[in-house]
Amino acid sequence: MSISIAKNVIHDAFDEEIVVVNLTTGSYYSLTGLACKVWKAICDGASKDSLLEMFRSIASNENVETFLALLAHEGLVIVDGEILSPINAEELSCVLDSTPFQATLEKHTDAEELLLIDPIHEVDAGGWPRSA
Amino acid sequence: MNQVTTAAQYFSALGDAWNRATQVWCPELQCFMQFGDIIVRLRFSDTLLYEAYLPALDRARMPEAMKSWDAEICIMRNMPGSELPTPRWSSGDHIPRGEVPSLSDGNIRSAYNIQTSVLSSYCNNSRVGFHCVRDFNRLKQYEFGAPLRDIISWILQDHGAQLVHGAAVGYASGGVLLAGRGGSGKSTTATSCLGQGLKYLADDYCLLHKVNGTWWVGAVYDSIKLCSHDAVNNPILEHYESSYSQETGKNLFFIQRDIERYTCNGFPLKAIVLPKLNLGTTAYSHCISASKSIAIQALAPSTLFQLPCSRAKSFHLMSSVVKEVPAFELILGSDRARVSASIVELLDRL
Repeated sequence: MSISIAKNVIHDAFDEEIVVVNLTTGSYYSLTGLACKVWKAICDGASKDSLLEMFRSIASNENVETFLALLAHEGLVIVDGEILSPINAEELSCVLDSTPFQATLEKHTDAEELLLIDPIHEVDAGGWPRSA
Repeated sequence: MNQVTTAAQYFSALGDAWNRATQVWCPELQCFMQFGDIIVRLRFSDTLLYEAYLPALDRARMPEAMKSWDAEICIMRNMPGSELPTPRWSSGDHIPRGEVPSLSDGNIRSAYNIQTSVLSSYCNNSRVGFHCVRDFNRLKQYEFGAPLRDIISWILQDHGAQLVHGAAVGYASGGVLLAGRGGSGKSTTATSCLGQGLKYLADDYCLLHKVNGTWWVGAVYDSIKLCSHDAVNNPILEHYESSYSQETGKNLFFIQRDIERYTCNGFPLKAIVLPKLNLGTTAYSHCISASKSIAIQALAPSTLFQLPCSRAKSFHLMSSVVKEVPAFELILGSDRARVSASIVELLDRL
């Protein structure tokens, strides 16, 4: 089954790190070490099975799957053909802390408040929108 | 008034409203701005907006009328006889960063600020934009400090440049871009350099563009926005009048003719500097190397999420800058006089 980068995500590599920005949520991430390698493999078109094989000597299947689940929960990747159950991201991070993925993914949410998403609930008499 | 249904139809209707505004109210006022290499004609349908917006754009203003320009912005108010056309707002429309998907297509970009009731719309093909103020009394301090920001951002991006959220100081031979999230100390750092040898270029937004293969930083606005505490303690600004906003807690200054000697309009970019408040006891401000990853995280998010722009294109440009220009953290000590000296020392090293 295939994994791809979500369309609302932009990313680039800077030396040994990858910075990923979720344009929908306003969160941005820094990936290092093993997380960086997995991300690059996904960008190169690796499937879930090939990722498990690729990192078998470094991390267990469960570790890799948990990391992929975290990426999917954060809206950064799409897993084709499989709907991942919503998982509490904080709990996932705690689980990752005891794995080779420890400290390889940093999430920043300070820009989220800049992302003004204001659904129009009503319009005024002139037909212009106003916030609820 | 009939509602229009497509972005192109609405843009055309804005053009009709503009024509009515200049016929009904007063002869059009116009001036020309230069942002980097890009010349923009500004056309105003009345004097109120002309007088309100020009102070912040004075440095970019060209002394003479031009015969050709790269883009133009028509600035108008909602007035009797020249009412703005009512767009078709869909219940449940989302407006991320103020962008209005229903008024945008591949050629036209539109954004509506619900707090200030300002509509901005720009057509890539015709290179014409409309900045429409529905209610002048609802304009906020930032509209006067950084007027026409959305359309200027789109115009710059169309011409390979980028408006970024950042401050800048330096010399004509080279300077630094101060980057970081809101409250990180960019404005305070930039304004503390006034009168300390370094030239001030910007405190909030500046222009990034490439000139003959080298990244340059350019000035866009003549305004300085500073919290009251920093303003009264600034030896240059404390003598000048400003307008205070209770909403933002900041004082808005306009660079005046007699402090022009402390400013410059552009320079080659030598480094990206990330101000960092030092919560320890060190009084000594100094610069240390920073990774490119930290630099892009400081520069990109606030630009991407404050400005309605093509995000992938903006991120790509900022990534290129970060990869080509060294980055440093400026550890801010308690000795304000050292802040400027630290940047001077850094520029001397580069």
